[in-house]
This record gives sequence, C-alpha cells and structure tokens, in this order.
Amino acid sequence: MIVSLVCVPLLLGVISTTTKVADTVTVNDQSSENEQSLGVIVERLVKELRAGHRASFSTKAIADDVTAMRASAIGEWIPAVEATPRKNLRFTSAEGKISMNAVLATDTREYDYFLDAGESDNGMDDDGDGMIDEGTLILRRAGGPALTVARGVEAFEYEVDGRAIRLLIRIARRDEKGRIYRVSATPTIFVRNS
Amino acid sequence: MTAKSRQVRTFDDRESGASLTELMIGLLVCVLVIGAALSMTVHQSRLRKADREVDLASRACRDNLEELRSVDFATIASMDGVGFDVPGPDGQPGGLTPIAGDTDGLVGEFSVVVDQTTGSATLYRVTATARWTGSVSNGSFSLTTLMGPRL
Repeated sequence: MIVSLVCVPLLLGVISTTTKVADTVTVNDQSSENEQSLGVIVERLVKELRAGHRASFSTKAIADDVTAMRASAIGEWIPAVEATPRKNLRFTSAEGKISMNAVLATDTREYDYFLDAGESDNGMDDDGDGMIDEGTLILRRAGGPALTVARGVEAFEYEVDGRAIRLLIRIARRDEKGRIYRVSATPTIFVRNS
Repeated sequence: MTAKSRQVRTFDDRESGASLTELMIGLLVCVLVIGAALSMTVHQSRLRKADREVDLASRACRDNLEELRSVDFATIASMDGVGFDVPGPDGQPGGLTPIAGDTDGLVGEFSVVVDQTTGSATLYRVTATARWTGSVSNGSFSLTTLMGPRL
C-alpha cells in the first residue's frame, strides 16, 4: 500500500515530465526548421537580387495598372511600379562569370506567388487549416517550367524604392497537434546594377 | 514440522517485494534523471532564444546597411551615431530589448568614419552595431562595410 502510494504519483510525474520535455523538444525542432527554411529562401533571393539589374525589374499588371494605362490587360508583364506592394517579380542579374562585368545577364527569373486551392486573399483562414492565405512561391527560369521554391507561404510581396527593394516573406507550418509555427523576414536589398 | 514450515514461509514473505530503502533509491534515481532532462530542455530553449536574438540582430544590421546604400551619399557622414530598431521575428518593432542606459532606446547604431580620402572622393567605413539585453546575457553584433561614391 505504501509502495503504491509512493509509486503511482511518481509514475504520473515521470509521464507528465516526459511528455512536456518531448513537447518542448518538438516545438523547438519545428520552429527552428521553419526558421531555417525561411533563411534559405531569403538568402537565395537576396543573393539573386543584389546582383540584379534594376532596369529589368517587371511585374504582372493588376487592375490599377490598366486603369492608370500602364498596361493593356491584367497579367501583362510591365516595368516594376514603385512604392506599391506586388506579388510577382521578373528580373535578370549580372551573370558573375567574369568579375566586374555587369553587362552579361542571366536568364530571366520569375518569382510568383499563388494561393492554395480553397484560400482567397482576404487575411482569413478560408480552408480551416489554421494558416492564413497560404500559397506556393514558384520560380521560372527563362519562362520555363515552374519550380516550387516554398509551400505554406502566407505572404510574399515586395516594394521597389529606387534601387532598393524591400521584401516581405512569411511562411507557416502546422504540426500534427495543429500548432502553427510562423516566421517572417523583411530583408532590404540595394540592387547593385542599374 | 508445521511450526517450522510456518517459520520458513514467514521468512520468505518478508524477503519478497521492494523495501522502503530500495524504493527511496529508485526514487532518487528517477528524480535525478527527470531533473537532468528538465535542465537540458531549459538549456536548449535558452540557447535557441539566444540564437534567435543573434539572428534578428544580424538581419537588422544587414538590412540597415543596405538601406544606407540607397540614401544620398552626401548624407552618409551625418548618419554617425544614428540609431535603428531591430524588428522581431514577425517584423514587429522592438524585437530586442535595449541595454540599460541606452539613450535613444534603439538597439542598433551606426558608426561612420572616414577610411580613405583621395581628391574629392571619400571612402567611409560604416559599422552597424546592435547591443541588447539578451535572454542569457547581454548580446552584441556588428557588421562593417566600406561605402564610396556610387555610379
């Protein structure tokens, strides 16, 4: 009886502590993995954009562009519009094979952001998975096939200000217990080539 | 014979099961193991926080140096001593806590000194430094670059 009185609370304590420790380790692991994923995406974009040609920046026209007569149709690629957040970007960068040569350019790179099925751009969780306006960031090189850069992207937009470009990227992950891990980055890049 | 058998049985019963001493030793071992696991978890969480702080500081320093490249070059010298904020992981302001006695309340600060002067051209050595009160101890991070007139 005495043994049971001592052992049962002890066993419960061990189970509770082990569960909490395992939970904390999982949270740390998931959030670190999420941060690492974002870090990889940001580093890639920063590297490509820093060597970019500012004059090559273009974006897909939206309704406002058609109204302002910057484009004839929605979705047409037009020169980047300053100081307005956009979700797609096409540009070339200095090739970098010959140092100091900013004239030789890479193929065009197109970054585009598409919402997942069941989500609409309204700042709400439409499909009930806990993530808000999540979608996929894709890359096309020279207009080729779409390569998936990241899934679970809750925000991807940028603003051009002269030769500076300010990005906003937020990615989210959901674990098996339904917890959401969000992390965002707002890097600023000064484009080195006009 | 019956009495002897009873004596032996009584003796065997006393030997079976765990004694309180064994139980206490087991308890002590369990407490030590749980304590070590908890300590390891807390330490891991602190290290993660410290890593995140350094990451936020490094990103802010890099971003602010990039911002500085996009301002009018003639104004760079006047940026010496100017502070900047370190945003949090979701981009919210005040991601890190300034150290005690920080007059402007901003974690980051620029230092701009002349590195070289040739004719009318000046090359500046610009350092972005972040100092903050960390979860483990006070933290500091610096990035230095050279800035000259741009084409």
